Amino acid sequence: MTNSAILQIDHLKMHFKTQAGYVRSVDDVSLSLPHNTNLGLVGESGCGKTTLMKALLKILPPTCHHRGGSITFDGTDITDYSYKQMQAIRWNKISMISQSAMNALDPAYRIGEQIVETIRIHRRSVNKKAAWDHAAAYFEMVGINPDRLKDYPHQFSGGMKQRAVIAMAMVLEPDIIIADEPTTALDVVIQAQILERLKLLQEKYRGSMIIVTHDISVVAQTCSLVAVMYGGKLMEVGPVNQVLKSPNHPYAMGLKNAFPSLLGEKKSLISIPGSPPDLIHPPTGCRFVERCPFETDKCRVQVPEMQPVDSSWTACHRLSEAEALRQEAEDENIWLKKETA
Amino acid sequence: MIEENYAVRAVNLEKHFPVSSGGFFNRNQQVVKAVDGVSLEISKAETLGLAGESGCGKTTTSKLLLNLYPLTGGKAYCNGVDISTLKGKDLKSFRRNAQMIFQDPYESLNPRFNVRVTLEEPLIIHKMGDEAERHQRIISIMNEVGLKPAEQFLERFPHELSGGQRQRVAIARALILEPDFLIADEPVSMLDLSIRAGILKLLQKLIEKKQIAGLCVSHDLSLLRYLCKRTAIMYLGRIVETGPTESLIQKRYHPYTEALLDAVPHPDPDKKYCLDKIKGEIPSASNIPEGCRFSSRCFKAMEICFHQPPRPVVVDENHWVECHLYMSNRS
Amino acid sequence: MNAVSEFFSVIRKDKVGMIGMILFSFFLIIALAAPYIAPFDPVEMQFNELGKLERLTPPNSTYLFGTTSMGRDIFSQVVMGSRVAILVGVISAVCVVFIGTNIGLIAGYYGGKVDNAIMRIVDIIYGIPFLPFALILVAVMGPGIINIIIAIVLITWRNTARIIRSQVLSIKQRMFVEAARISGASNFRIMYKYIAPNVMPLSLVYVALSMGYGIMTEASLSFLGYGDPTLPSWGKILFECYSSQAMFIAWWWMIPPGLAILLLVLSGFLVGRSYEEIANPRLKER
Repeated sequence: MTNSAILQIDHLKMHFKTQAGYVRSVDDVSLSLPHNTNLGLVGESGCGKTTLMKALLKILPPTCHHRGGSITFDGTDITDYSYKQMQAIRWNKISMISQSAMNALDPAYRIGEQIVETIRIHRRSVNKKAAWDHAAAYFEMVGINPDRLKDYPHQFSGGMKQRAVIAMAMVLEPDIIIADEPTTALDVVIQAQILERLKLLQEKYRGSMIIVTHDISVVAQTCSLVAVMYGGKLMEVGPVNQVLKSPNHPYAMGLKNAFPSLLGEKKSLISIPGSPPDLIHPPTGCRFVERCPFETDKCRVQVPEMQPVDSSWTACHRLSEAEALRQEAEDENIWLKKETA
Repeated sequence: MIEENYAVRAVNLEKHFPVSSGGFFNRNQQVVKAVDGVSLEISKAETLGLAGESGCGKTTTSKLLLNLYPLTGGKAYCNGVDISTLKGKDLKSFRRNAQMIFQDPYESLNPRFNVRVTLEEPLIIHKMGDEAERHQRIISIMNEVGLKPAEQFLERFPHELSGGQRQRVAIARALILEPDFLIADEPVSMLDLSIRAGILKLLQKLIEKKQIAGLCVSHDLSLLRYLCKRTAIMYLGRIVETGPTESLIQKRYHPYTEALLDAVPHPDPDKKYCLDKIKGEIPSASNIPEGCRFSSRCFKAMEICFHQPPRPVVVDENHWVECHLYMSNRS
Repeated sequence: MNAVSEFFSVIRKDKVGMIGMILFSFFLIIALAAPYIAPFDPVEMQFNELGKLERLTPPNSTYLFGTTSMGRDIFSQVVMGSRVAILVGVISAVCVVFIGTNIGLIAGYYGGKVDNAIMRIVDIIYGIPFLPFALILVAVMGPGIINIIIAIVLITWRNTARIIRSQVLSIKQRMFVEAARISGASNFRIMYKYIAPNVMPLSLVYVALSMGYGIMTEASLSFLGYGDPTLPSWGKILFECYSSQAMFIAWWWMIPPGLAILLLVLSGFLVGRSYEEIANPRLKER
């Protein structure tokens, strides 16, 4: 991992304190994001992907404790930055399009005013006229007529609001844009329109983007790198082509099996039996062990380290057998055995 | 009563909601045509898919079929009985026969009822069995939906269950009355990918085993492909194409079907979606375009499409389309 | 009942609510044991060993809160007065919430014309000034504790009904209610088995708050001379103090009942407030 990364996360641990103990939502996660790259962060609900993103922006509640590791942004260690110190970076350098972004618009103000406000808070020197023109340029870029800057949020449809929020997140030209489930609430056609915009924008602006989602097809269509997260840890990180087509980690193989295909041949859908681990008392070894059809005794006791293979990194004890396991994983019975066991 | 081959049949279902708009002095009554002439049939042990964008009227259609709203036009039959005429006792027995599974298992279960109470409620409402029999039924349905061992789940509240388990409870609640007709409204879209397949298979298995007529409402065609043999595509309150799911996907007769299929993002990074075949967003149901209702967004629209609404045309066995493209050569 | 035990478990976790609960329990115990605590009959005139009336004696070891201008023991009066306060408070609160919750449920659940009619009645009641109405009612029907409670209930159910209705409107939209309808549950069953338990926490908040209002109203009416003449109440003590024109001489006559009213009313508000904050159903789920 080189210095060219805009964002470097090292062995980060973010744990939520509860009465029952610490919830290990983000547990020893290392990740580096190069300049001008789209990274997809995939995982099921509760796997810690949103916590990880909020940790970057320092918008976690006080019950979440930093218990090790570091975050380096653009060469500066921001691990111990306070909420206040982060103000200079938040939105300006790292912005976020949140899951419920459509509700992030204030219904009492014109959308244009809200975008201009955002610009003027961070760039004091910019006058109102220039800020408005800037906003108009971005509106055009996300595919909305700039005249509609004068509209109120309720005059926009869901897809347009989402695009307006994307414009708002990009308007300061940040180095990193985090999009948390940017299309989950939208229909296929509108989803495709939004994904198209995100990709176009990324090509025009040499920033990086992290797309957090549970939908691997969204990642496949917009990202070049993908990180698969499970139970607070990363399972596999690598180029989209590698990880989604020939995954090395059994969890990633399971995800690939579970995805219904629309155009290809109709294979039987295979779900991963069981449910995600309890993050207060996680398994001692690999987090995926309870649901993994290929578990060994070693998996139960020892936490697998991230190891490189080809161009990707995988945390699995049976990485060397990945080729064979991939074949086996296509068989439904392998997974069913685990369910009945 | 007419001879009935289908468990559920709808003929020209219509639901128009009046809305008043305009200023205080200038009131003009507008009509939102949420459902505007929907006809469909479902046989026993069959699941029909109903797909379309949000706002196309698919949820309203399913609620009409459950007799939750009064119809403004058309007829709906369940086992040959016109459901809009049902009252009192007959209505109650229809309720027993027609059940629904909702999209969000977090919302559809009462947070104050544990699993046992949730499942016992329908039985108490319909006065089925004594306490011991009810208990027996609850245990057996829980085993059927895969909540095993049942005893371990009986006393749990919804917040103590995972999303998949909640949806299984919701399925158990719908099936415990042994209905003839089951509507599933986006049954897995709130669930994690890794467990979706399990729920889908469970639904499929139970619908076939119990000889239920199923209707699965979803915006996700790839999902319907796995659950339903036949699918109807809905656009702005009307069904524009109905046919076997597989041929619907392969042959893509209607331009809207084609556009929908092309917009679905693919999990393979090398295969790109395509957006060229559809423009803009779905128009409002209170302002439906003249002629063919898809004409304003259609990439194959012809002159006639803007003036005259198309009639359904049979294009294949069990497959019909409402589009002018096919009206001239086959009719 | 489930909701009640939940109510107490929630209160225990909050300091403010706990203080309210302790204050209320304190008055409740005094009210229950009043005849044993009060050293004298509250209306009996007290004489000293010389046979002289103990008129306006300041607090001392015999008369803890001193005596009135008629030579009656104020401590005994305050202790016995707690019974009236608790009785009026609790009975009126329970009635108010019972009526208000049911009306709110009906209005919210059925909606449309029923809702419109009920809510217009509520609007009209909101237009009635509270104290004058109570005064007239008591004047017409005659003074008496029952009539005071009726006056309180007739006016205050409006608040509960309105709040419960709005809560029902939002719960009615929840999917589990629709699921109940699909499984064939009757309107009555949906209202009382599905919706009511979800508005119960809010109803309990209103029990606590209405108790405060009830006590305050009873005190006001008694202070104005419309109280029950046969019962010793805190308001009446204040009324006698005021009408004897000893207000500025005998501070001991005025402060104990005033303070008692304040603390008991406060206990209701504290419990209600803390419960409302913690048991907000939005915060609890998920």
